[in-house]
Formats: sequence, C-alpha cells, structure tokens
Amino acid sequence: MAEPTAAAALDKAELKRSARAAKRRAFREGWHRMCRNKVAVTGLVVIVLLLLIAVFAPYLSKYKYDAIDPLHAHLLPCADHPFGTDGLGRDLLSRVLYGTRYSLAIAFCSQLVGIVLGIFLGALAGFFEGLVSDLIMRFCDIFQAIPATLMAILVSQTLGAGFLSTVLALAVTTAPSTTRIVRALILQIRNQEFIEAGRAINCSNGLLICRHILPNIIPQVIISFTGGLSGKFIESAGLSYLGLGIQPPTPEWGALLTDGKAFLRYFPNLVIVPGVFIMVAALAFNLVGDGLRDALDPKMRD
Amino acid sequence: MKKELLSIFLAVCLTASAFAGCGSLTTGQSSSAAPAASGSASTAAASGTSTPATEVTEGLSMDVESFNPWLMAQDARQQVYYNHIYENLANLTLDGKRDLVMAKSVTAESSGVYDIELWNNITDSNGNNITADDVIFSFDQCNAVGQLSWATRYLDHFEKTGDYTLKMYTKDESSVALDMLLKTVFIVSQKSYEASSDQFATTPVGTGPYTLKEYVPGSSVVLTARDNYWQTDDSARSQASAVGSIKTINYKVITDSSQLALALEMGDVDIVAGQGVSNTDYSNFMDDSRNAKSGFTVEPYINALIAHLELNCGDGSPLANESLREAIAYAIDKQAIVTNLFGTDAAVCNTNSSPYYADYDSALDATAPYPYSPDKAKEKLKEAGYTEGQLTLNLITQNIDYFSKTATLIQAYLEQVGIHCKVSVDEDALFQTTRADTTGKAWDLCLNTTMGLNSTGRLGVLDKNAYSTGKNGLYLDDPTLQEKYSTANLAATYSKDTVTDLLKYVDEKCYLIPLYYRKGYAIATANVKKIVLDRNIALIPGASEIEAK
Amino acid sequence: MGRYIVKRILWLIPVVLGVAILIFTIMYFVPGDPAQIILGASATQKEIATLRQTMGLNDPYILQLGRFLKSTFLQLDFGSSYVNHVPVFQALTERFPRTALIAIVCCIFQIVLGIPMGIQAAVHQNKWQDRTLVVLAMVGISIPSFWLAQMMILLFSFKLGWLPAFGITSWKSYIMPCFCSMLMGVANQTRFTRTYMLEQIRSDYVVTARAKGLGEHTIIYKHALSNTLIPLITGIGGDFGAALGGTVIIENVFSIPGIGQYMVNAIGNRDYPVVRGSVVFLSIAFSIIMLLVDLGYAFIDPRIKAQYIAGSRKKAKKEASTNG
Repeated sequence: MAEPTAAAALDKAELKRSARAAKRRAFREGWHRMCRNKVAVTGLVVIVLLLLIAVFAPYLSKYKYDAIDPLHAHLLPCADHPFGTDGLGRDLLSRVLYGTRYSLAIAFCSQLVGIVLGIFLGALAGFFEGLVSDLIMRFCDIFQAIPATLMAILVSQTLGAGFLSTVLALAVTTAPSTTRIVRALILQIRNQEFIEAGRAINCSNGLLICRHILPNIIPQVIISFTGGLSGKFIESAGLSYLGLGIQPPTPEWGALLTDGKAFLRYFPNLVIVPGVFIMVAALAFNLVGDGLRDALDPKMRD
Repeated sequence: MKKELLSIFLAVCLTASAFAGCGSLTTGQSSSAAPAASGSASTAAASGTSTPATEVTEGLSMDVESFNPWLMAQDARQQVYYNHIYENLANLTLDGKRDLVMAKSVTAESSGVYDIELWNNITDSNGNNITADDVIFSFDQCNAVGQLSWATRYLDHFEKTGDYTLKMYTKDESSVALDMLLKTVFIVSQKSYEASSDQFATTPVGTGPYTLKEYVPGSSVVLTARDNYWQTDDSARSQASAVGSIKTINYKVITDSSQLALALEMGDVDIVAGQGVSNTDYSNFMDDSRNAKSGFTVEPYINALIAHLELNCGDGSPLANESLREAIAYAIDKQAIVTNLFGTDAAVCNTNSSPYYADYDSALDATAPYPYSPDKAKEKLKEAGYTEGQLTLNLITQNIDYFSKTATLIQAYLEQVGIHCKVSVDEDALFQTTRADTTGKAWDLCLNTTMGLNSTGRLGVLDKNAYSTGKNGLYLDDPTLQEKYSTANLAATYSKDTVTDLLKYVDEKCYLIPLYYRKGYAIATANVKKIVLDRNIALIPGASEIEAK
Repeated sequence: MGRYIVKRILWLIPVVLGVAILIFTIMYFVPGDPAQIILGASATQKEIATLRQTMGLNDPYILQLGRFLKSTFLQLDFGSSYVNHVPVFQALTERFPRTALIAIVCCIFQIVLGIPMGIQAAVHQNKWQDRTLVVLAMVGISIPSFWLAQMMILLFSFKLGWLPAFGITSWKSYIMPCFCSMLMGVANQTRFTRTYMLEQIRSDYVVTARAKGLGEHTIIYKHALSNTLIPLITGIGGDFGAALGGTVIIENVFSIPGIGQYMVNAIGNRDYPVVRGSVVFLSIAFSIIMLLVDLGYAFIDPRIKAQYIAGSRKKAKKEASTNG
C-alpha cells in the first residue's frame, strides 16, 4: 500500500507547485500589464521619489525643519530659501521635505489599519452567517450614515491630537466600506467548488480562511488599499486644517497649510507649496491605483 | 470774488463743526451742531464730506446667534447689542471710568453695600417702565441662564428700598465686585421678557437707543435708532448710549481676518473694532510706525489679555524648586518673542500687569526681575540640581496661531539652556480640561492669557479660595501669597500699592512669568474721523465722528 | 412592491436609532467640559460644578442617554444649544438649505458634466479625448478641495476682486464653494461613467446590435447608456451624502453658515445637543435619500421590477386557482 500513497503524495506536491506557479505567472502578467501603462509607471516613479525624500530628508534639506530664525521670517522664495520661510523663519523647503515622512506615514498607517479592520470584520461577516453578519453590517450602516469627515473629526477629538489618534480617526472612515467589499467577495468565494472540496476533506475553518479565501481576495484588497490611499492625504490635511489631527510644529503637509492660511494674501507660498505636494502625492497614488486595477482586473483586459 | 468768500465761509463752518463735535462727545450734541454747516456745504456742492453719516456699516468677526441679554459675553454681542439694544446699570469707558447709564447714582453705604438709584423714566422700546423690581428680575434671570456666573458671583442679594431705588449687597467685598455687577448684567422689563416667545433670542426688547430691525443669522444685523429713547436729558446721557446722527447701524459677519481687511479696503464695511482685523493684516492700513495710511483712520487700544506662563508649583512637580523657576525666567528672551511675532504690535511685560489696568505701576514694569541671560539660566539650573538635558517639562497651550508660535519659541529657548520641553497644542476644550486637572501631574508649564477688571482680578489663578482642592490654580498653597492676594483683592484694601506688593511677590517667587500684552487697532475708512470705543473695545458709533461717504 | 418599500422604511428606524446612540456615546467620551467652555477660564471650579449640575451632566450615562432618546424620538425635540440657547431644530432648518444647495448643485453638475464627459471618453477610448479627460479626472480627484478653495480665493477674491470669498451676501458667494465641492464628484463621475460604458460597449448585446446593423448612435445613447445609468443613479444617492460631508471643510473656508460649520463649531464648544441633533438630522436625511434612490433603482431596473411583478402575478394565479 506504500506505492499508491507515495504516488498520491507526489501528485499533491505537484498540484501545489503548479498552483503556486500559476499564481506567480498571474502576478507577473499583471505586473507586465502595469508596466506597459506609462501613466501608472509615472505614478510609481513619483511614489518612489517621495519615499526616497522621506528617508533621506535630513540629507536633502539645507536647514533642520525646526531651525528657528526670527530675523528671516516670512521671506518669499529666494536663493537661500527656494520656497521661502514661515512666521518663525523656518525654511519651507526643509519643512515640506521632512513633512513627507509624516504625511506618508499617516496615509499608509491609517489606510493599513482601516483595511485590516475591514478585512477582519468583512471576513467575520462573510464567513459566519446569521446574527454575526447582520450585526456587523448594521454597524457599518450606522457608521456610514454619519458623514466621513464628521466621523474623523469626532474620533480625532475623542482621542486628542497626535499621530496615533489621527491614524485611528482616518481608519474608522475606511473600515466600513472595506468590510462591505470583503464580505461580498467572501460570499462569492465560499460557495465555489474548491471550498466545498476543502470542506469535504475536513479542512479546518481557519485553514480555509487563511490558505484559500484570503489569497483570493488579495488583488481586490490591493486595489482598495492603493485607491483609498490618495484620499487619506487629503483627509489628514483636512483634519489638520480644522485644527485637529497633527498640530504644528510637526511639519506634516496639512499642518503646514494650517500654519500658512492666515497669510494667504501676503505670503501665498506658505499655502501653495504644501498643497502642491499633497496634490502630487495623491495624484501619484491615484495613477498607480488605477494602473493596478486595470492590470489585475480581468474584465479590463483589452 | 463770490467764490472765494463762499470757500472761506465753508472753511469756517467746517472748523466750527469739528470743534463742536469734539466738545459734544459726552453730551451727544454733535448732531445738532453739524447740520447747520452741512446744509450750506451741500448747497455749495463742494466736497459734501462734512455731512454727518446717518448710517454706518461695521464688520463683525463672528455671529451674534441669539439676542438673549445674558449669554456669554462675546465680541459680537458686545459690538451689536450691548448698550445699543440693552443697557446696564453702568458701563466702563475705554480708560476704565464708570459711565452711569440706567443708574442715576451709585453710592457706597458701607463696605460692600451700595445704594443704587435708577432714573424714573426709563422705558424699553415697548413702552414699559423699568423699576427696581425689573433689576432684581434681570439678575435672577441672568443666574437662571447661568452663563455669567463669573460676574454674578459677587452679588449677595438685592434689597428693594423704593420703586426706583435698591441696595446691592456684594459678596467677598472684592474690589472688582461693584463694576462687574453694574456692567455685566443687562436690565430688561419683566413684562416684555415674559411676553417674548423665545426669551428675546430673535425679538429683543431693551431700553437702549436702538432696536433690532433685521437679523439674518450668520450674515448680517441691522439696528435702527429709537424715536422714544427715554433719556431726554442730553447732559446726563451716558457715552455708551450715544446715538449722534447714526440712525442705522449695519453689521456684516465676516469670519476671516483677511476678508475683513479686504472688506474695509473695498469700502464694504466702514469700521472694524474689537476682535476684528488681526495684526497680520495691519500693513494694509498702517505703515510700520503704525500711522494710518491715507484713506483710513485707526484707533489704538491695549488688549486686556496678558500672556503669561503658569508654572506648576505643586509638591510633586520639579518646578516646586524656586531655582528651577528662576532658570526658566532667565532663559526666555521676551523681547525677541515679541519682535518676531508681533513687531511693534505687542510689548513685553516685566510684571504681571499692563498699561490697560488702572493700577499699573510703570516703575515696576521698567526693570525686568529676570532679564534674558542664558548663562544665568544654566547657573540656576545647576543650582536646582539638574544637569543639562536631564529634565523634560510638559508645556500646554491652545491651538491659536500666536500661542503655538510662542510655545515653539519658548521651547527653543529652554532647549538652549539644557531643558527639554515637550509642547502640546490643544483645542480650547481639551486645553481647559488639562489645565483644570486636579492631580497636578497633567502639565508643568501652561502658556495662557487672562484678563480681569483690574490686575488682581486677572490673577484669579493665584486664589486658593477659588478652588476646592485647598491649593490654588498652580497647585500651590503659599500663605504669604494668599494674604497678599486677599489684601489686593478686597475693596477695602485694594489700592495701587497693595497690587504692586502682590505683583512684586509673584515676580520674585516666579510663580507666573509674564510675557507680553498685545496692542490692537480699531480700523475705519477715512470718512470716520474719530473712533470711540468702550472698555470692551466695542464701538460706540453715536459717540464716534462719522461722516457720510 | 409595497412590501419592499415598507421593509426598507422599517430598516431606517434601527439605523437612525443606532446613529443616535453612537453619537451620544462618542460625545459622552470626548474629553472637555461644556460648562467650562461656557463660563470661560475665569470661572471657579464650584461655579462650573453648579452649571454642570443644572445642565444634568453629572447624571449617569444611561439616564442621560434615556433622556436624550426620549426627547429626540418621542417628543421630537432636538433640544437647544448649550451655548446660545437657540433650538437646534430651528437652527438646522435655517442652515440646511444652504448646505443642501451646495450639495444639490454638486450632484447636478455631476450628472450634467460628469456623465457626458465619461461617455465621450469611453466612446473615443485611447484617443486624445479619452486621454485628456482621464488626465483631467485624475487631477480632479487629487486636488484637496480646501486648498483649491484657498487658491481660488487668492485669485478671484484678493487679486482680481471678482467674487466674494465669505458669507452668503449674494448668489455670487456660492460660486466658489460649489465649484470646489463639485470638482472631486465630477471627476469621479467621469471615471465611473467611462468604466461602466466601456463594460457595456464590450458586452455581447452590443456586438449583436452592431452585427444587426443598428446605428452607432442608437447603440450608445439608447442601449448602452440606459444600462449604465442604473449603477450611476445608485451612486448619486451616496454622492449626495458625500457632498454633504464634504461641505464641512468648504463651509469653514468660505464662512458659509450651513450645517457643516454649525457642527464643527459645536464640536469645538462641546455643544452636545447641537452635535447630536445635527448628526441625527443628517443621518435621517441621508437615509431617506438612500431609500428614495434604492426605490428608484428598483423601479428602473427591469430585473428587480420583474421579480416583484412576477411574484404578485404568481400570487394572484394561486389565489385564483384555490378560489376557483
């Protein structure tokens, strides 16, 4: 009886290997499709640039972001200060470069937390029918009935100013929609044959979720992640603009906008520069997000 | 020849009316002097600029929201209906003098007890007469609303002694009690108030010289002068209720300072007083030495708020150590902060008072007890037992632009002498909660501004009795401080000397480090020849000299 | 059909109730004391404590929650502002039209501009029209609306002096706020319309229609468009809600006295009745709009309609057979 089991074991291993190879091929195909999309590649280049700026900010900026120089306050762009200086004489270029760290960090973290929360809740709702699913969906309804900006403001005020509370405040706005998407996907997948087959051979629920269901929702999750990321730049800037979220003197882009808004008329550079950076970052992530969606979505294949 | 004679005649009339206008500020007679001159001016079809205006437009930086007389005293309410629609027993002029309005006389009978006599012909715009009962009613309603308890706390009770006379018994015998009570609570007729369906929120009925004509929430207010204003004796009329020639006052709500400045420049509004245009926009109206540019009139005033650093002197706090407090005082370069943030629009305070206050002692303010010296600061730090870089202090403040900038600068100065400083900039509600924390561990330094009716009134944070913890707002229980505070607070012992004594002690002990006071400007277009404000920095259009555009 | 409507209306109730409880709880836990804010910094602790007692803020959570739910839903009384004692509902009815105006203008332009642009992009896929519109749309969704607002104020108000940048003095005051609010919506609408149209254009029935010799114009504007409209119209309801939320910051920038500014100021003042009342009001408005959109969706989409009509026909047949 040893031979048939050995053959069966070989087949199983072969199946696994070919499955993994097929997945890799699919991803490579998607990647190639994305690379052909020139616009998305531009976005990707910009993102890489931003990441480099965030990492190497201390070396790229001539001044430290908190170097106060009252004698040179409110300078318009000049040779020494390409973007001018703010009310305390701090170099705007340096502050914007350092601010890349905070803005990228907040956008990434809040989107990550939101998506993870959404996956967790969506998986629960999709996998366990009945009361659990209903409760979770009603919670989502309730959260979504309050306008997102307002929700962010409320959570931000409950938790106070600062990095962590801003991350949570923004994550709360993403979680409900992600929950819906994940739940819909899981409902789709769990009725498919390979899951039934898995159940037939007595795979545990946990194994089913981790090994089979989750990998199949990854493409959609990646699309949601990158797609929503651009919004996070804008939302976190919005929170700072209202006086919540990240406070000055941290050079987060939104906080820089807040700092400069009283001087819009006289020193518009203080408002123009951070806004342009926010726009460029959001645009880059939008382009990449669209490119990814086009690449990974089979329907758009043309 | 005829033309020259006419122009000389015009010039004489103009000069005459200008002098008449100046002299009649307190009597409100400017309106009677000017028309004679303006009549001939307009017929000559000259510039026509000597006609006094009958209408003026004022810019407001916030909305009134409700016309109830006993809500929080906000700038909008002070500009719009304080002393225009409603009246108080007495007001305060810009330099702090009592300006009797509804009270014909106020005399001190004994310590803390005052006899108040009302005018017997006061009527509101519905024709109801105001009696002593209405005064008591108004104070009761004010307490029911509950938003002005910081003022009414000084009232013990009233005793009616006649239809138009009453005795006011004040609590605590504090030096600010009388003026607080006379000026803060507005008096209305009980009959009119009870007849109102929404407690005067949109249909106010008061005894003031103006009535509400139109109110668009969030946008504009229009007041028109009453024909039947009760005070017919011009010599007894208060400055606060001056009407002059202004029959209509328009208010426009413009919340952004730059927009307010723009509106002034374009002539959409004539005057902005109070918390209107901020110092970032002053350069449109004044040159660097703060002289008005052509086309504008400005009136300087001193802001009652003084910025200071409160130090947590509680037992568990590092700042209980006096040497450390002195180190911090030496470390901060106040003049640099002022010059950088405000230029000439603020001045350094070397003591916890400013020229705004009548008890200000300029000699005390002339020398800094702890002049800026990083070396001395480092010395004191060592004396306190800390090495450089060892200590981290927590500084809290509100998220208002110049506060957070001041905090950042203070942080930089402290870093310079080896004290780390963590700055927390919070929105108002959170800041107040943190500051009022009773454990004494929530903050080390608090950058705050306070104001009062006098210098002692401003320093309520030092008063142990205002708190229920047995310590004062700095978590401190210093019997000497408490004694000096009481002496400087009570009406019986309040004087410039006792105040100076208190301030000297506070400065010496470094409990509070005074920083600066700000100077503001009420700005108007050129047709406003003179701007008259009261102690609340509220515009009195009738007392100002405004010419038609 | 009636059953569906009734069911959807009944769903409203637990959601709105849930929103009310959620907002109450959040405001309960937000640090900060309304009594302290009202009385200001010079008030003593005793005075603040007295005011809190008067305002009922020292009562336990459940008691306060019960009081709030009872007055809001049973007595239909949203309470009055702590700060200025103006009844919340009165202020909302005054302010909501201004916010709604901006949101409605956004939705109108989304339909009037976004959909045609999306169709053009789809029809001329990969040609210059498509590329330009896609780039414009991408830029449109990447610009922060409040930053754009400030740029427009700088240009049209400060430099050129054409438009007022504050308040609601004339119809001109609404131009810039509406433009800033609608930009993202229009851009998104263009992209979605393009996506859906492309889907339709590639689908079998279009191939068949082309094979049958139907004109291109008929195919696009009669058949493909009507199928595209279904998901788009469902989206409009959500867009109105998003527009309502988006005006929060825009109202702050332009000082428009609408609901957004009302709520943000109230949150800062810890004016609980205002925040709670406004959120409940908005969620009811939003839920009603979603309901109307869902119902409209059900009427338009022939598949759903058929379900219900077929169902009722079956029922009638059954009854006929049992009776007959």
